[in-house]
Amino acid sequence: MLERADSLTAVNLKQTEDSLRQLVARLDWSAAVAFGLPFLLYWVTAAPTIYNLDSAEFTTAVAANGLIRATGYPLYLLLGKLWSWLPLSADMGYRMNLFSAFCGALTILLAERILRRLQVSGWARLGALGLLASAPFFWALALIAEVYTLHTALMAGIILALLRWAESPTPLRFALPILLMALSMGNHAATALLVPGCVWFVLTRHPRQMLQPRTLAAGMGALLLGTAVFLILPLRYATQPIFNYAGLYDAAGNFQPANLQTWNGFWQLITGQTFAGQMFGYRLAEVGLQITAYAAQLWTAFFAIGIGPGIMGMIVLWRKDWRLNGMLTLMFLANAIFYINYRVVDKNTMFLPTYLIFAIWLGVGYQWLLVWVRPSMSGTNHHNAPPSRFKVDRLVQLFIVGVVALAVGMNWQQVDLSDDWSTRLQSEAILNQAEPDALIFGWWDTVPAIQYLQLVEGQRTDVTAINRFLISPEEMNKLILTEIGRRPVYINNPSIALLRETTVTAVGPLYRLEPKNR
Amino acid sequence: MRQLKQETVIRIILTLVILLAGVTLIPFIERPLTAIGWELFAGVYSPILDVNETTGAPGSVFAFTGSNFPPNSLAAIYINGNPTGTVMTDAVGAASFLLNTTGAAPDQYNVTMEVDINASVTRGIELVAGGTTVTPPPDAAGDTVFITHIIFLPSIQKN
Repeated sequence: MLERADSLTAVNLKQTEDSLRQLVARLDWSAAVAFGLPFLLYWVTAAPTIYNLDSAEFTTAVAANGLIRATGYPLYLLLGKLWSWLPLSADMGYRMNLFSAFCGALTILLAERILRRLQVSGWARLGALGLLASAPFFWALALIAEVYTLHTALMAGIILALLRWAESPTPLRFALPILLMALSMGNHAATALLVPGCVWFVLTRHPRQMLQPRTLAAGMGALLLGTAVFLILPLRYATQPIFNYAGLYDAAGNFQPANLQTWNGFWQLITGQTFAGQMFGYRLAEVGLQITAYAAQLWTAFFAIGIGPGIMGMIVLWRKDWRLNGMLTLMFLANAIFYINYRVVDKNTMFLPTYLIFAIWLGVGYQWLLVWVRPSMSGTNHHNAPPSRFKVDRLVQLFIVGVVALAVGMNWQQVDLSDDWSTRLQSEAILNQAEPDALIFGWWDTVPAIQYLQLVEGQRTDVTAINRFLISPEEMNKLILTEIGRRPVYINNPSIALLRETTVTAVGPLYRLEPKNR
Repeated sequence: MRQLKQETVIRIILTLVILLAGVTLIPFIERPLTAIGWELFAGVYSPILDVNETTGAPGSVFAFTGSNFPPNSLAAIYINGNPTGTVMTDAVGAASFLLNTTGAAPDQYNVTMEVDINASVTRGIELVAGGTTVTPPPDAAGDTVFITHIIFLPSIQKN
């Protein structure tokens, strides 16, 4: 009996071993590395808890089923919610930071698939995408809750889907990039900057397919399905969410939400009309400096070494596939020109789509170099050629991979957030110092993280925190002067009007305002 | 064989030229070393008003520099809440001015620079009798405002 049991166990073990072997043999190692290495890098360096500015707003909105400022970001709210259910950590802030890490790694994986379709070898892919993954701003934005890495992942998905459609144009394959594009609009309105490139590609590749009723129907269906994600906004509005950045406070301190169940309120939110003033916000004389600054950022992102091969790749791709490169160039230019002229303080974080395009060019450029540097065998029999003492292309392979290792090492200190508890500490300090029922006014660097602690972790719910973005200066002054005699009022930076009418005392990073005659 | 070697050398050189093209820009581009964190972008919410000294004798001239203000905007200067002048911020939201304390009594003075209610910052200086007379650094720039309400009127002569 025992012998039989032993032999059965041995058979089972053998079967398990075989199936494992098959699994390993079937595993796409290139794809696994393309996703696994960056994800590991981002996981190790991700912020360990709630992060500041937009990050705190996004996390709190996801956790509290709330609403975000323009442009609403409904897809992020939806996918973020699904991700937040994963049992990755007890800290909601950390979980959402890991969502960006996942999307960053997904971008690299999808870009790897694009380069593979362009017949770029493994070494060239590793070299190009390694530099993209370790580019300071790409890396940094994969470590905190933000919409940018989801945006690049969707963008890579759109390019990949268009390549698949171009290979075999069927109505369903045509529908996929449109679906992704519509969904992506629900994550970041800058998806609109990809439209000219996509239209170019479709019209130059298979223009007649556009006239087929089935294709048009599939495209329309995909568009409707993708844009359905925007329905989240009026649906959430109907629940009167406790965390709402779509609206304004009045002088009585009452929040007046924008009515997202009317077309006007909905359209104003999703088109980002509040930020229209910042678009093309530089005078002509200032634009030159902005272009230089962007060029320097791209140079830094691709660690200087990537610039030459990237430009080379762009030239090579023009000759190889002008339709595809026309799309990539239009996407690159639309994003670069728009953000170069966008007058906001954090614009450096917004160029990631141009990084993705440049990384594709870089991969093509590296591949061209690897082929070019090999000695020409024309006129000689390849098999009879004398064996060279060393293989030059091997050295180039080692060089481009070595550059990635160097970039990771040198950028690490600049981006590593694994020990950054500053937002939590600052917010907890403010809440600890605030007197009961206090009213706090501050900006993005103060208020959203306080609201996270209140709404997600239940800390100091007696305190009311108002983001100054959500109240006009005049209304804020009126509210402060009304409330100052009734409850403790704190502000991050008092104006001259308040200084004249109140006594100001510094309390931590804020100022406590009191009536002068007290 | 020799031709093959020559071609290989040319190819290696061209490959190196392309690979190292970006490196030639190193002397012209400064690689930023500042950590990429929220503090890098939060400055816009916290205007700063720097002064070369915080204490001096009456008659001192202090050099103030405001930064992180809205760019290309008119900023008002207040001393203890009273308007005393204006300055224009530049393209990066910075502006400088000099504060002349001639004729002012020894006391604590609050200097406020404000573009609007959302971009306002106050900095205190103290005038101490018998203290050191502060002078602005040689490279200090900007208009001069006065603590005392000295108004320089144009002289009008009747011919």
